[in-house]
Amino acid sequence: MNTELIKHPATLVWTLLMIATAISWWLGADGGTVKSLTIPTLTIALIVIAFIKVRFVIHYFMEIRHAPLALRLVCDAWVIGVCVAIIGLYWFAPTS
Amino acid sequence: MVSSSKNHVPGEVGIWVLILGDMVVFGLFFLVFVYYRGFDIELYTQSQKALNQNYGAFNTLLLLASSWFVVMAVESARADHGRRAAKYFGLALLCGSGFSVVKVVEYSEKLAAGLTITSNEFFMYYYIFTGLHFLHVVIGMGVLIFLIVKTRAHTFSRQDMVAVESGASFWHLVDLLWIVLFPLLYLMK
Repeated sequence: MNTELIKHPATLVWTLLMIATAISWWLGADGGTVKSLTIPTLTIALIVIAFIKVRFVIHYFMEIRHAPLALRLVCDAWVIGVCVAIIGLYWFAPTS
Repeated sequence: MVSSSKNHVPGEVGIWVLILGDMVVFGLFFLVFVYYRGFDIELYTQSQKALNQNYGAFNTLLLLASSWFVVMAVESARADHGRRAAKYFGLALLCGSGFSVVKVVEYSEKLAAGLTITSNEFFMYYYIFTGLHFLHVVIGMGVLIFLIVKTRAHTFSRQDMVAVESGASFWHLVDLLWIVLFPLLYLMK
């Protein structure tokens, strides 16, 4: 291990991603019923957490924060577009 | 340093065509899954109960760790520390192997319980999406082995660094896709 290397911003991002995963794991366990959240709130929270994680991976691990504007915009459009579309399809599901 | 530039595409442009193409395809998979789920929520939530959330979550942690190791490997390669880069790529490969072991155990348990791709709609999507993702993991592990060999061998030319960044970006894609697959298949209600 190299201490200079460990101070890289990706280390902090990685720590946050691990914590976010633990939160999702805890929230999702047993259907989340013990956390007194409604089912739609729980599911939307899980989806939003996932896409926040994805944006961190894209920007800090894939280094898109240093990429040309067009590539940054395409990646962010994917993150926001897919996240919003999933929540929309979930929310307006015919049998919900 | 390369990463401080505001106009740096990590890796070859070609790898980004592949990555963005994969993101579009998997993006459609996610939407198709949530759309059809809406027509039979009962079936999807009942089927989901047969999945082991702990496997899914543990595999998320393994891929996140592997991605962090890959970032450390790329930074080491940039600093011209080839052997250190190879070591970090090796640790990422170890995490990828761990993911694979968990996946094989998980598939065997499901198959032993009689849950196959033809069991129902949920399991059809489960096997197709996780299977295609697993194919990415296997290809990614091949890439990591190539990068271990490459970084161990010698000091880097500009071209070698492009290969390192391309391979690293592909591995992060593998992580990214699983981050969404995990809540969709294992957790959402």
